[in-house]
Amino acid sequence: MKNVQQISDQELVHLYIQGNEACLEQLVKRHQRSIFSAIYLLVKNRALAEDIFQETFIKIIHTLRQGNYNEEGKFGPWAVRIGRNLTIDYIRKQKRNLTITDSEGNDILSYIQIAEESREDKLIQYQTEQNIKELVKRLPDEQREVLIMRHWGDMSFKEIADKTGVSINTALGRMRYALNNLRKMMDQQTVKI
Amino acid sequence: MPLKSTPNQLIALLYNELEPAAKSNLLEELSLNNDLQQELNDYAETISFLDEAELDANPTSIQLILEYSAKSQELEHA
Repeated sequence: MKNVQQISDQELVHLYIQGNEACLEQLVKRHQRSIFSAIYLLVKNRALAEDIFQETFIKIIHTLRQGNYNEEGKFGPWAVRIGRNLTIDYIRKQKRNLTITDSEGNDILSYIQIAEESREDKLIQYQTEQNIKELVKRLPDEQREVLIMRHWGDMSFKEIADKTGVSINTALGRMRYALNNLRKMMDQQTVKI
Repeated sequence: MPLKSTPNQLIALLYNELEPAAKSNLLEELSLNNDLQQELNDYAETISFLDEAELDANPTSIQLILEYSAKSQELEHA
């Protein structure tokens, strides 16, 4: 009998639907990094990313059990898309929320967000990848989105183009600008050091 | 004479998404053009840095997901 680590995603999905919980564990372990990275790099907040990550898998569990999964083996990109869509929904809802201002008209929520980001930075400063993550977070939204979808979401440029409503050439161009900007930022950091 | 490749094709090449004819054309151009080769190397190097930016979810999140799945399955079969 095959070890779960040797089983394809498609088989794991099939066995999980039949009630084998170990198969879900394997799917989560296999894809958690790309799904979580995609969410985190969009929301830029670890605690929030953890919440959306859990919500993503709850949606995945329900979709699988209801028999609505038909991605023919491309579980990873499909799961990243769910995470990305939930993240975008969250960001849209936040933008619709009323702003709470202080006596000087400043947005109180912005203080809280800054405090959280600052604490967040302290928590993850020991991770060696910190610099790259920070640089990715500084990219313009359109470039960051393409970069995340292609690099961590494993979506083709055609799929990204379809999803974002642009041409393949525009998606490629955004990726190229993202890489150029990242390189410039890395060079600037090196100069500072 | 083949058409000159576009910078976007370098990105498509690195992600293995270039059509065979365009790929062949670009590879030929790369063998003759050091500046283009350098540009490709720069993109490849930046892409390799991206792999370092991956983050793991907290093990607690993973545990909560697995517990949710197990409990909800029990409820479905109760």
